[in-house]
Amino acid sequence: VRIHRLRISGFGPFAGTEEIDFDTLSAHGLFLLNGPTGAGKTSVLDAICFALYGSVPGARQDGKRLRSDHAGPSQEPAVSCEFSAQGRRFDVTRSPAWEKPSARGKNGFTTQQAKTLLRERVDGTWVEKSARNDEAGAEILALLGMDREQFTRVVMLPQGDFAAFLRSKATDRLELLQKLFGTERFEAVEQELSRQAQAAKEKVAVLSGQLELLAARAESEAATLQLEEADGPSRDILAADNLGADTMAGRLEWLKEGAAERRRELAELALAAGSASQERIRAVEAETALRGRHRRLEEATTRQAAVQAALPRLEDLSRRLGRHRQAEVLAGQLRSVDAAAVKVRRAADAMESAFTLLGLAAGEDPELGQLELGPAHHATLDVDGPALVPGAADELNRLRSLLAVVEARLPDEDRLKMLRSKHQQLTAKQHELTASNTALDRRVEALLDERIRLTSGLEALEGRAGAAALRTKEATAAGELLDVVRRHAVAVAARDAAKLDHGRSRENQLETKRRWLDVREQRLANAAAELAAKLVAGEECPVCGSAEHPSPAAGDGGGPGLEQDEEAAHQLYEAADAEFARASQGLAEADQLVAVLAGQGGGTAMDEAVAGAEEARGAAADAEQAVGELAAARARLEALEAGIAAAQGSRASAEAELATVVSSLADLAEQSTSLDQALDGLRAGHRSLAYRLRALENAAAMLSKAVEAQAAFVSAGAQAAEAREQLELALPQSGFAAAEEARAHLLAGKEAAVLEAEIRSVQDEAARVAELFASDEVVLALEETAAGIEMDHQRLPALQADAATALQEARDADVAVGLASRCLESLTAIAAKYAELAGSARGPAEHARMLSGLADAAAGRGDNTYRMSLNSYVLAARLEQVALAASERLVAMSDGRYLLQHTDAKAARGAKSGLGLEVVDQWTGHRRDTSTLSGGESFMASLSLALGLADVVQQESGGVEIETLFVDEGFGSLDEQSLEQVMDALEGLRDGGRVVGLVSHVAEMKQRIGMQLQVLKGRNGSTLRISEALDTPV
Amino acid sequence: VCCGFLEHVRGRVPDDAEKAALTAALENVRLQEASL
Repeated sequence: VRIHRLRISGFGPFAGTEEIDFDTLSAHGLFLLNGPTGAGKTSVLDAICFALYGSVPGARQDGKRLRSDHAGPSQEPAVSCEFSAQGRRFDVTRSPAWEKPSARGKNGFTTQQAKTLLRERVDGTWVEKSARNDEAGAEILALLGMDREQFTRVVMLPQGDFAAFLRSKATDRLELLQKLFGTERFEAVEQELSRQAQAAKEKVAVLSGQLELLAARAESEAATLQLEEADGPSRDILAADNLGADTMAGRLEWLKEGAAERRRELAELALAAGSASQERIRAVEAETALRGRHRRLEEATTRQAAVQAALPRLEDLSRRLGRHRQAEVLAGQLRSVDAAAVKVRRAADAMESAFTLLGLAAGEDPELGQLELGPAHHATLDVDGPALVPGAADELNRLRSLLAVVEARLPDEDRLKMLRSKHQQLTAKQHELTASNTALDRRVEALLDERIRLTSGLEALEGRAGAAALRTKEATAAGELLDVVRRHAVAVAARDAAKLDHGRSRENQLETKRRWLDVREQRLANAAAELAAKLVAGEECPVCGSAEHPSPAAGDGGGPGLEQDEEAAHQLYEAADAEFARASQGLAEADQLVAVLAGQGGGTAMDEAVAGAEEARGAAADAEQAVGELAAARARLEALEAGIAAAQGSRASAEAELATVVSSLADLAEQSTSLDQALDGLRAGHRSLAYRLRALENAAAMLSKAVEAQAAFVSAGAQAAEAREQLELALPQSGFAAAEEARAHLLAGKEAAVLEAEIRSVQDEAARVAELFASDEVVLALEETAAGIEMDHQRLPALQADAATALQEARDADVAVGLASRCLESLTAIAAKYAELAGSARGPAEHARMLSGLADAAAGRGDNTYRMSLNSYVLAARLEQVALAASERLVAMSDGRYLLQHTDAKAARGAKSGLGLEVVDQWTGHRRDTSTLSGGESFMASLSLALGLADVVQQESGGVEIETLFVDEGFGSLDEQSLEQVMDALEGLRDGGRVVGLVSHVAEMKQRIGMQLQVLKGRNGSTLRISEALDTPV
Repeated sequence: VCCGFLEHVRGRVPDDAEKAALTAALENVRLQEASL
């Protein structure tokens, strides 16, 4: 494993981003990691560990936040490490979980989960291997071949700790070595064994408690049976030994047998008590039966006497019922005769009532008063009743005929009503037409008057309207002239302005021309000086061609500026000349426009032109109005003509209609008079035929009721006579002399039924009594009475009391048997459960004993003859292993002088620790305690031990080559000789291309080792810097 | 290591039950370490 590059962001004390190029650092194979205490030297190593394993080494992980406290609120903590292993190159970037300020809430945080990205460099490009924490971790673990703790021990050699171990006494080395070797696991095994032993013991205790509980329950159950304790085994065995289950099983067996014996005894006693109880019960039953028999005998005797007493009444009742049965044969006829008589009576009453009402109504109703009913006479019927009226039916027929005639003429009366109504309507129409004719006459007159008025005004209007076209044309011409006059005034003003402009531009042109000519003249005067100024020594003169210029002309001071002045003046003149030409052109155009407008009349005075235009416009407007009025008058005249014609037409048609109405009125009057005369006779003094019809209907109805009542009376009389005849025919066969005798013996329906029921009841009772006397019980009771056996009321209660006592005794005995059985069952179940539980407790007890033995041995107790704990043993073994590896290193470093040797030194209280170590000087053959080594020797020995540990761990993890090492030297100052030895030792580590980083703040080291990684502490966190002293000998 | 320890301090090789108990204890410790 070789580290190439490390990049740290917001991690540990580093607030910003720090990058370390280990390849640069490793240029000389050895570099120094230095900085003040607390600056973050260890944090660099932590960062490597975190990048590879996702966590920092052991103790530093607890209670430490990985993210830098100095980092900005939103800076993500991250560590990135580029390393090579097994010939491949990788880059791993990890970020621990951290709280990022929430984007939405001011005070909120969101938890950012831990992230990992593992990449491999393949053919010059990085290829992603995994982005999952667990997957990347497993991949790296497989590549490095060691876990985090192993890596920490091998890569970061805690040489300082070994130095402390060497200096400390043998008895204090346990803690130091445990820290160095990481054997906490075996201490944990000791504790685990102890815990398991305790748990097993508690489990056994629980089982023992359950066994005790079962034994106590068995004793409690058996106590109710009161067994003889003298015969059985002692109950104290429970307290003596919890696991003496076999003895307790014997006791339980004895209890079971005792309970079974007690149950047998109680069962025999219960059997005897049951028999006695049954016997008593049978005696009570026999006595109860005897009492029942004799009671029934008494009852039968009493009922027999009652039947004998009822026999005379029974005979009388039977006789009455027999006569009733005879009379019942005639009952139908008798009922018919009675019913017919009732019917006749009712019909007679109805008839009498109807004729009485008819008589009373005849006084008020003339129709009834005119009836001719004839003399009344009694009918030939054999019944009492009113006299019959023979002419009633004929009168009824007459009334019905008259009713039909009146009903047939009812439509004529409606027709008369309609004729009268129509007459009224026509009369109203006649009045209406007369009034309409008068109104039409007035309207025609008014229209004619208006026509005359319109015709008279028409001529004047036609005169005014005729000149309208001429007036309009005159108004247009006047308007156009006014426009020309206005434009002429504007053109004159413009021409005046153009004249002024023309004058000014003329003056300006002349002035600028004068100035230009002045400047030109001045320039010509200075032409020689101008040419002389352009001469250059050695160049030809443009005038004479000489290359020598012995006497150039001198100017008056204008010099070369005159040429520009002349050019400017010429430009001003040309501009003024162009302006003058434009003004001249403008003036000519203005003159031309004024002349044209004057030719069109523009010279007319403005007031005159305005007045003429106004007057012409007024005359045109008046003519236009006259045209409009004329058209309206003509339209009105046409409308009047049409109105007059229409009104006259309407007048003629109304006249014709009036004549028709008058003719119709005469016809209607004639028809209604003749019809009224025809109907008057049929009304017979009533207001109308309808009233007459209603009176006739009432009269017919009353007479009809009387006639019907008379017919019903005659019919009822005939039916009564027939019923009597039938009764007389049946009488001789019935056994009665007269109908009234039969009627006297006839009983009412309910009375006959009651008689029959009473007779049957007495007969039934007699039969039942006879049956009772024939029954076995009564016969036996009669025999017992004959034998002198009687009921004794005192005997039964005594027998019942005896039976109850015997029954209670039997039940008590049964309960005792039941209790004994239940006790026996419980004891059996408890014994079985006890046996089962005791069987299952044997295993745990054995296990607990074994675990207890193991725990004791691991803790240095019990049969541990060395009184050495497991942890001490492991440490000693590991130290022996490490010392062996370290010796090889030390021999090489000390030129074959020193060896490290492991010893079995005693620990506290006589226990063997096995943690002793001594150094053997092969030059002298002496052995020395490691605490007597000098500074340099001590460094070599401790570095040997650190490397020895690394070698052992490396071997255990599969021999992965560690190419980057950090040595935490942990020394104070060193003398010159020691320093030489240390440097030689460090020099030796670089063999084989290994890179060694020395963590130290020893001043001499800083001077000796040129390549340094400096950790600089600051108020806002630490930073890293690589420095290299080129002249350093290393 | 544990069996060697027992043999060293007691002078006898642990039986199968003891070996099983030691294995279980070690396994428990490993599980506890893993859970931490």
